[in-house]
Amino acid sequence: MKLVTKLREHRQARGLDQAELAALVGVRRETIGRLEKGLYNPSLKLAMDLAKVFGVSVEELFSFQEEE
Amino acid sequence: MKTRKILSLTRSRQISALCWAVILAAGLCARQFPVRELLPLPLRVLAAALLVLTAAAVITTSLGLFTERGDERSARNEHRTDAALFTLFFLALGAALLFAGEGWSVTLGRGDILTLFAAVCLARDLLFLGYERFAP
Repeated sequence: MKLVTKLREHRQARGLDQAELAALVGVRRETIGRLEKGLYNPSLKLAMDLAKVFGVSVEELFSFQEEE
Repeated sequence: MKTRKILSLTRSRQISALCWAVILAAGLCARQFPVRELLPLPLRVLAAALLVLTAAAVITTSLGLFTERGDERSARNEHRTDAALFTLFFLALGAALLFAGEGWSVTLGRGDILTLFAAVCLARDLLFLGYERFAP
């Protein structure tokens, strides 16, 4: 199963760059970059912090897809 | 407001890896060649100055001065790095036990220990950078 995220869409809708979002949740810019590309699985705390920044649920931000 | 320039963690480890590579190269050269006899004084002074700068860079990066704070991903990659290094060390000791003859012994001088230390630190930095770049 592959982790799919709408992080980039939410970030751009809020007018934030990766560095600003990273500073808001206490991670590095590279981590946000890898999250957006689906190359990193966040901890529960990080996922919840990100969801809180955008005012959405964790499920709206991250979901799993079956790999074909 | 003046802000202090902060190195990214990746950049800091790249600088550290480069410095350890310089120290390792210097140590290996010193083992192979009689540096004091072969090099003229100006070159020896230059080499010494380079090593002092390198040591200062290593201390700065090791202490994390001017470096951004790590996060959960870098902490995870640090753990993976240390685990991989220990596994390599474990395998190396196993190989040594397997292939070492009876009465085999090792003597390490201070220079050898510094060279070995530089090799381990370089390996640690390169492994960390590899995990940062390629690992999920």
